[in-house]
Amino acid sequence: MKKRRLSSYDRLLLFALAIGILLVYVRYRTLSDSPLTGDGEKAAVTYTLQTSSKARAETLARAKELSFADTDSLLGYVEEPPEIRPAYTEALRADGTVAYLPSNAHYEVRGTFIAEGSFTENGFFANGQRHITANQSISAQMNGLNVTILVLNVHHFSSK
Amino acid sequence: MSKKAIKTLKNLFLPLFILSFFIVFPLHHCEAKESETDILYTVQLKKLHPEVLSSLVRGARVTDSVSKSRIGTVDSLSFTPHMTETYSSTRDRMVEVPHPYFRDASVIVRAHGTEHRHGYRLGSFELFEGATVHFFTASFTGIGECTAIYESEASS
Repeated sequence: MKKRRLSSYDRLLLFALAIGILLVYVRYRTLSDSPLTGDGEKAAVTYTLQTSSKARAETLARAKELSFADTDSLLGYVEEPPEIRPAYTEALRADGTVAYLPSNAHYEVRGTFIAEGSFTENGFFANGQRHITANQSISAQMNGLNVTILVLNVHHFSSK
Repeated sequence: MSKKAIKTLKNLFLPLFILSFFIVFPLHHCEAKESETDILYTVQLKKLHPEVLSSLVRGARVTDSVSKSRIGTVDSLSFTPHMTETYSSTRDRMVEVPHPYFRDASVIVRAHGTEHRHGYRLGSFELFEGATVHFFTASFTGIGECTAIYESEASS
């Protein structure tokens, strides 16, 4: 049988291939989104939103789950119905100072939803979609209504 | 597969490999390292809900969420009432008054940067006074403005 030898170009290609595999491995190891404690974790996310009608606030409060408005994928589910209360608005006092008083025309819906995902070194990564942190505004859908929620805090959640 | 096709594939492999190297390690990683300076800079975050303030913590690593660059760690924090502009009927002009609910945060961030134009370069993020910072830590997100940059005593 005729013995075939590798040309110097073939050796160079094999060397380049080996270096390429090594670089991909190094890049994979340096990715920062690897979960810290594994998948399947839950976070309790406290949120608030404002709306200008009581009926709309009540519809939002009946929602059993929230989804991302842009991708329609699940953001979290609601364990306890949220609270509806008058939203606070700014008003100027006669002495020139600003008061922050409950409104008769605007309502605040405030509650907590449970999101699944993983806690990474960059924060809570919800459902493989995006990170959720405090002070973040998220366009969400609740009971068919599009709303913008403000995330107030994110904590580990463990069901008892 | 014909011999010609195999040869063409072999000839394409090396250029593609070189190209992939630059994709995996972008050009700025290959630039010659300039001398880095320890800096402190202030980021002003405005009109924050009081309940989010506890999520801003010292020691948190800060990333600019647009350039995806690590831009330092939180060194210190201070909070002041948010100033809001309103019409004063007694003075018949707009006046700034403290808001009773919302807060502004001054976050001092410690970082290593290389001097660049009028400021510093932190990874691929260009920091200068007036720059918009898409401030992102593991527990907090916000959009702020860089209001001051100092060289830290450690580097001077």
